[in-house]
Amino acid sequence: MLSQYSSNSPARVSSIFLADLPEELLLEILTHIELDDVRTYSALHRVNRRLYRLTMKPLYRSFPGRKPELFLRALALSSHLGAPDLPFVEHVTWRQWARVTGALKYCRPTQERRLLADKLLQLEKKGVISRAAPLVERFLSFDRPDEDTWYLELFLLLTPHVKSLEVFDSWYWDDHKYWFRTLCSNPVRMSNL
Amino acid sequence: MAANAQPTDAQPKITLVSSDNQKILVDRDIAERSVLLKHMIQDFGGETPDQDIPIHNVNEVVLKKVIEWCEHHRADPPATAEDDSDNRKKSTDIEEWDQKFMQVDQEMLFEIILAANYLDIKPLLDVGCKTVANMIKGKSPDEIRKTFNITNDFTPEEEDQIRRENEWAEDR
Repeated sequence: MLSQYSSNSPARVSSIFLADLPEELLLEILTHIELDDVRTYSALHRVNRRLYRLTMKPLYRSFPGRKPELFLRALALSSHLGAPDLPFVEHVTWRQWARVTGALKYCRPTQERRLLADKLLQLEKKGVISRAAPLVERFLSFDRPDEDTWYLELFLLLTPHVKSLEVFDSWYWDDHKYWFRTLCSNPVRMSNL
Repeated sequence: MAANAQPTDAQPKITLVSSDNQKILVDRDIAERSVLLKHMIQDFGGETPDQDIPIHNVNEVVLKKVIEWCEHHRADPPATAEDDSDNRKKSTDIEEWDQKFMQVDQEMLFEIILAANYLDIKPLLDVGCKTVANMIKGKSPDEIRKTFNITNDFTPEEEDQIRRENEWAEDR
């Protein structure tokens, strides 16, 4: 499909550039990039300020299931360029196996976790969520991947617009009775599910 | 091409005037691929207007190119509302004739997109946007900037921060 365009030949110097198109047409072009093409949206996100803003919504619409720690960190950091407070994450894929095997590798430095924790506590203070404090405590102190069955709960607290959740390897949770305690005390926020 | 065709058949003709003041004669059904023109013609009470129709935002070269597309697609069934919202987004396939048609330099490509938007020719707008989308897919931020002549307006600090923000989306 149009392979002639994917060559790396330099663009012809012309008087109209992609960047000159009105925003509605840029958004129209984005509708032709599949929503699960995270790689392309992520690249566009890093091109310039305008595309950073325009791709915020499609990029954060679904979480593909890898490296939730880094995703949560992005949610905590993403407000610095005028981005919305919490991006509208609608679809979450959760791979508990990847959590158990890789979590420690991505166990974030305390300073970064603090950022996220502060954000959660702010939300609780504003009354947007409740009973977040115990989760936040665990989040700040956890250093063993096999103890993080509560991590999905934490994740969902920060993604209140989720409409679908697909969980793989859920048998890891069989022995843990209480892992949705915080969620259950936030029924309104989870009403989409 | 319609623009040069002699009015030998029964098709009523319409005269369009480009932004650079060039008159182009087209068959009415070709002109009506444009929803804007279709509505304008309806405003004439359904009669084929005998006066020139000015197209202020499109120059002769681009207008002729757009008419070439409309001529090839003159018999296409009109798009339904459902096509509009669903099908076109699922598929990035572009039919072969359209692919060849879109093998133009970037300036012309964007001119076509702007003209299709202005004239309200949705299927042509889609082909143009799909073509651009295909040029974007799979490229790195730097390759996208090079391809489209986009200036990086992030500060180095912002760039670093955004790269870190985006680590969750990286393959490894």
